[in-house]
Amino acid sequence: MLDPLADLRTRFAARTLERIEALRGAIDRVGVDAEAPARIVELAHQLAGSAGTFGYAALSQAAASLEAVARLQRNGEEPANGDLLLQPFASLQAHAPN
Amino acid sequence: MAQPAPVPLVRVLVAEDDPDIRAVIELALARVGGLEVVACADGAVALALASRDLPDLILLDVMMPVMDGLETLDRLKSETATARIPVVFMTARVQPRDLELYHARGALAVIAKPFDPMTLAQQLRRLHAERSLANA
Repeated sequence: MLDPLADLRTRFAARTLERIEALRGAIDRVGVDAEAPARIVELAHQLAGSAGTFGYAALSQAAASLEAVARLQRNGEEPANGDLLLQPFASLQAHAPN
Repeated sequence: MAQPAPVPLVRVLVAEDDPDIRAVIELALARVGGLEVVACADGAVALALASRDLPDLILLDVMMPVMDGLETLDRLKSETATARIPVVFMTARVQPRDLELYHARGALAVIAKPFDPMTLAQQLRRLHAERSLANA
């Protein structure tokens, strides 16, 4: 049976690569750009949602973990520190669709 | 006495800022579910479309730019033309305190993300039918 979501999955995979690049760029700017943590929260939240929708549970969870850490920094509950975001980001990269 | 028939669900307005999720919802509701769908990416546009089209049901993401789902719901409820249109939230934020908040603000129901695109239309039809019977 044809997968009605096949075309959308292909688009999702391409957009995921773009989002991962954008996340890496934002993580590099943490501590320099005050808006960087907020941008990471936004990107990670979107990725968590769409990954879950397309069945990439591990990617969704990794994105949600990154979002949670970035949210603490965005809200000022933790100091802005890009190094603390690298490990959850690496986990997210590891689960990205090929 | 005969039970009144529920009002059928025909037209759904969707507000979802993620383009991939929005595309899946449109496919799920239109192609799989046979519903008429109008979709947009933020709450402000959703308000305008709701007033223009008076959909049978509105499916709202919670976290959206420009105007989030909660503010959008408040504005819909404050306008006579749109106040009675049932609103269903779709969100990953489904902790008990989140659910209490959504219902307290007037949402008909909450569908958790990730959702099943093959049954989404069926879920919305059921919610809409239950509400129309409750209001009969």
